[in-house]
Amino acid sequence: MNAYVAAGYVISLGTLGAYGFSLAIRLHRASKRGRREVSS
Amino acid sequence: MRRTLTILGVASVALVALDVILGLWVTPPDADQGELVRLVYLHPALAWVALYLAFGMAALCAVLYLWPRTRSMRFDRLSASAVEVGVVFIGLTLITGSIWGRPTWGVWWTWDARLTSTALLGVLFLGYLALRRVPADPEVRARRCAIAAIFAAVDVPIVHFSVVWWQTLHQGATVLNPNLTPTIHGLMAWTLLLSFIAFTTLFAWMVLMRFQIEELRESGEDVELTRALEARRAEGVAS
Repeated sequence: MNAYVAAGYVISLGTLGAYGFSLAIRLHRASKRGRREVSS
Repeated sequence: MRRTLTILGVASVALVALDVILGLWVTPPDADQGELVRLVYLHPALAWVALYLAFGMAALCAVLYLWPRTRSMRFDRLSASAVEVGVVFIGLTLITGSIWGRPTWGVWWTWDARLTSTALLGVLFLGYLALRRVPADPEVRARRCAIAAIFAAVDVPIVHFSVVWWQTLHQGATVLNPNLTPTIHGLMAWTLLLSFIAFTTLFAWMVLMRFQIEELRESGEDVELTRALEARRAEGVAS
């Protein structure tokens, strides 16, 4: 595979994957905090 | 909402994976560009999401917020969510364009009208995100940010028409050209279409997650404020 193509795919998918994962973690933490506040 | 997020998440991961498989291993190399054509299954779709979906949505929500009849903090939160995701996508648009430009044009970057206006758009929306971090009353911040989003979105049509208005190095539209005659066909065209659908789904998933985080954060702040007020009232009664 062409090195430029590989770099484009790795950077794009890596960034989107990392950002999506960070959003999922932040959402999980925010809903956990929300549940705790409601129950207290 | 949780169910919608799960469906969108699974769908976007599956569609992006299919786009990558088709783009890297199934579609043929181009007669002129060779293997580099495979970046076409990423770059235009990333630009579509950033320019038209993310920043278009941010501007629309900003107008809806500023319009007295539709004013709601939810539009402010939606606008902010779209901008944050859009900034990620526009960054990747510039990076993938640069990676394609190096072997094709011989340079990583050139001050071409399309490239420059796109970079300017990214900087303007980074400014929007910086403005959101300036401490202010939520309503004041929402109004400031709505005006900033509309101001920044003026650059979107400039980016779109830059290849028509000026003599640029960047090629014109392949599919949505002025004559509406696509100059790509076969499996390559279908893979290109799939890339647009895949990244649109991914965008919807990310914006919805970002919006939910913002909603939960705001409701958490409301709970904290109510508790603080109750504590102050209790102190008043005790004294």
